[in-house]
Amino acid sequence: MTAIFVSTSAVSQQNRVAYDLVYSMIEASNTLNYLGLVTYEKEGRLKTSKMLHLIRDDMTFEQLTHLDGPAGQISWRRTNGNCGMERAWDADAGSRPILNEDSFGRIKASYSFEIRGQSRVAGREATTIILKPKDKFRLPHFVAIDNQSNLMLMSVILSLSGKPLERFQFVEIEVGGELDTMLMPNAQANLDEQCVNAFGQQNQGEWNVGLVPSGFFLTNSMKESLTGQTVLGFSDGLTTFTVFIESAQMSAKIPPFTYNHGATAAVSTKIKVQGDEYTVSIVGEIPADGAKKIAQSVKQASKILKQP
Amino acid sequence: MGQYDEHLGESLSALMDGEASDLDTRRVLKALASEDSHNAMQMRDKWRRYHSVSAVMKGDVASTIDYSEAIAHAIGNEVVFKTSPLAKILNSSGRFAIAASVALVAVLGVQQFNQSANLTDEAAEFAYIDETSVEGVVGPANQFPAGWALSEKTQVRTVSAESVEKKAYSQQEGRAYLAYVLAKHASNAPYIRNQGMLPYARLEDRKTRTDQE
Repeated sequence: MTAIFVSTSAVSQQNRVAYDLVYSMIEASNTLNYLGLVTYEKEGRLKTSKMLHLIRDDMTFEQLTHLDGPAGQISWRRTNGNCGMERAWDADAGSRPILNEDSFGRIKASYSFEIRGQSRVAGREATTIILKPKDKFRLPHFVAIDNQSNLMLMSVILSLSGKPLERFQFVEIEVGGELDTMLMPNAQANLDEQCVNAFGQQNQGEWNVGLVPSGFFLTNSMKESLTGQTVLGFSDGLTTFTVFIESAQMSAKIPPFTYNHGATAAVSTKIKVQGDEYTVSIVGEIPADGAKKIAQSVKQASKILKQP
Repeated sequence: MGQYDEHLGESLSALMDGEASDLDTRRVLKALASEDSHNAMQMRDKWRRYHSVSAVMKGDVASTIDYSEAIAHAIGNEVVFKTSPLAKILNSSGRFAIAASVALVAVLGVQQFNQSANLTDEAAEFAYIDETSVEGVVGPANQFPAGWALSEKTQVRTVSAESVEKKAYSQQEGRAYLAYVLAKHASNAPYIRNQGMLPYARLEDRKTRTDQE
């Protein structure tokens, strides 16, 4: 009996450590300056890139430069620190921004965490953790977290049967140091202002996604005035999926399809509303079966309101 | 009786009882193969005797006539139909011709497919422009993505921009749309920055993207 109690206690302690590590990992990715070489691999294809991540006050600058294949670079400048996870200022923690317990709770509610051991990634000691989803709307993640900085050094998304679907891994990384005082590059960049909207205050507009798997919340919604396209972004803090609803006019040109590449699934289906056919597409790092179910649950909100 | 003969007898007996192993069967067949050898004759005699004994024990009629020699003689007198060398060549070349034609069809098919794809580039481009809505469409339109599967009920054929009204789906438009939603999703995903810059790595687009949105 004592042995069982000790064992349960040890597992509980291990879970706690795993939770804390993932929590620290998320925080590190939002607060640290780093520059590194990364590889991204899926279905036998390998890409190598250089990543720069700088944070100054409330501004984040991110840049990804492709090192193989056709030359290319993506630069992004964010003006708001409240994107994705709700963050709050904790008086006890001084000026250190922390994650909102509710939003971190979503990850805890959706995945079980398990420490798998120690590993070495990009020449650094790391702790490996597996995040197992608690339902079939998410995929398992195997991550390696830097023991020193808590940054995620490796992420492998697995299929529900445990087969690796994609691998993102640093092969070299520099954290802090000169990067902390380096001037923000003057490169022209996409300016991200959409996440200024407070989470939880957004609504899905004229469309309603009937099946939003537990733990996912609406992160952004927009409607393109030119095309009538509605885009709804959902996340559970780790996994994201995007819902696209095309206008009846655009839908006439889009075939229904199912697409699977690496960890990304895209499912496009048709729904009929008052005689018009609309295309609903779901794209995300989620199982295709789950994506199909979500797509089929989309209804026009105004129609739902009319129902008694 | 040598050890080999002893083993041979045991193998024959096992074959008779239906308990022969592969080794037994091979041993007996090898001995029988050398038709005029002492062993082969002995084997045939033994086989006949065993069957006679077995038949008597079961109450069947045991025949003492050896049909094998008569059958072998009859087969030996059969008229041999010789195959002409020309027929042989024609036969094999026929097979080759079928294989070659299949390959040719495949090659032509691919060429035709490529040609039709090139021919429809203009239409696709037109349709592309027509869909500008789709700002930020990324990835080459002619890139057929791996993992792409159309719904079984979907009728897909290459169509000109004018015939879009017929509601037949264009492969190129479908591909462009897929590339577009994948890129838009990957661009949206970094809002949730808990995975750092991982979502950027998923972007297939290799163009420099620095324009203001």
